[in-house]
Amino acid sequence: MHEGLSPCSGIGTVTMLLHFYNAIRQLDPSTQGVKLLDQLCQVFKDPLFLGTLPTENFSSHFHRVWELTSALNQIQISRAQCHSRNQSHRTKALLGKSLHGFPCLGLLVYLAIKPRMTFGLTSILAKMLDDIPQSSLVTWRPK
Amino acid sequence: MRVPFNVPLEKAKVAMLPKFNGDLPVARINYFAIFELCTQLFEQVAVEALGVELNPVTGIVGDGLVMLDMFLGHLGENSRDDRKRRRLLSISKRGSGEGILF
Repeated sequence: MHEGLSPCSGIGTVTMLLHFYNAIRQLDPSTQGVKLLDQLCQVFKDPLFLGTLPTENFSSHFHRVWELTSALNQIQISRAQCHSRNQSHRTKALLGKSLHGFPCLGLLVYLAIKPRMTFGLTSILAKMLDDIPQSSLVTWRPK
Repeated sequence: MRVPFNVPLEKAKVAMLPKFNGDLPVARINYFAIFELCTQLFEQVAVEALGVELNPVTGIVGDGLVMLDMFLGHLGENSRDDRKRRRLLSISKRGSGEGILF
């Protein structure tokens, strides 16, 4: 269990996904939720949300949790953050290339106007969940 | 005072059983699968949003993570007051059929 929890809380991908999902749910409660992510939010409420789901300042909450988990698991996380920092520059460069001279219009506008972009996380998640059998993901079913 | 060995064992059993059979059986969850799911999701985000190609050596998970991190920052900045929040929601409802977020 602890071996599995370590990458979940350490690398930052699960933290990021759940904080992002929570931000969307908080900002627009009318959005259709993803049951699995709701369950994961409850499972990881203490380690990844520090007890309560944030309702504002989502980015700072995420960074606080990330730094805390990095302090708990220094080696793995520092490596992950170094990797992330190295890639940050590359990602921003890629984004700048994709924006095609829309300086600082905002990522949201970019995502909204990009024609082929169907960035629906739900659709991506549904696709992913189709690929991964539910039985291999979680071995229990809610009552 | 000597305590029978089964007493602490019974206490441990009572404390641990809910983690296996309770409403939230955290001991039975496949955390590796969750991690794998998130990793694949971030790869998908990087491919869809940034147009990068999968790289088995360096990986592209960091690209997706950094992008969503920036996105999260934008969400926070644009939700500080009602006017920005309404604009944010109107932007998120545009797009091809479904919102860009969900």
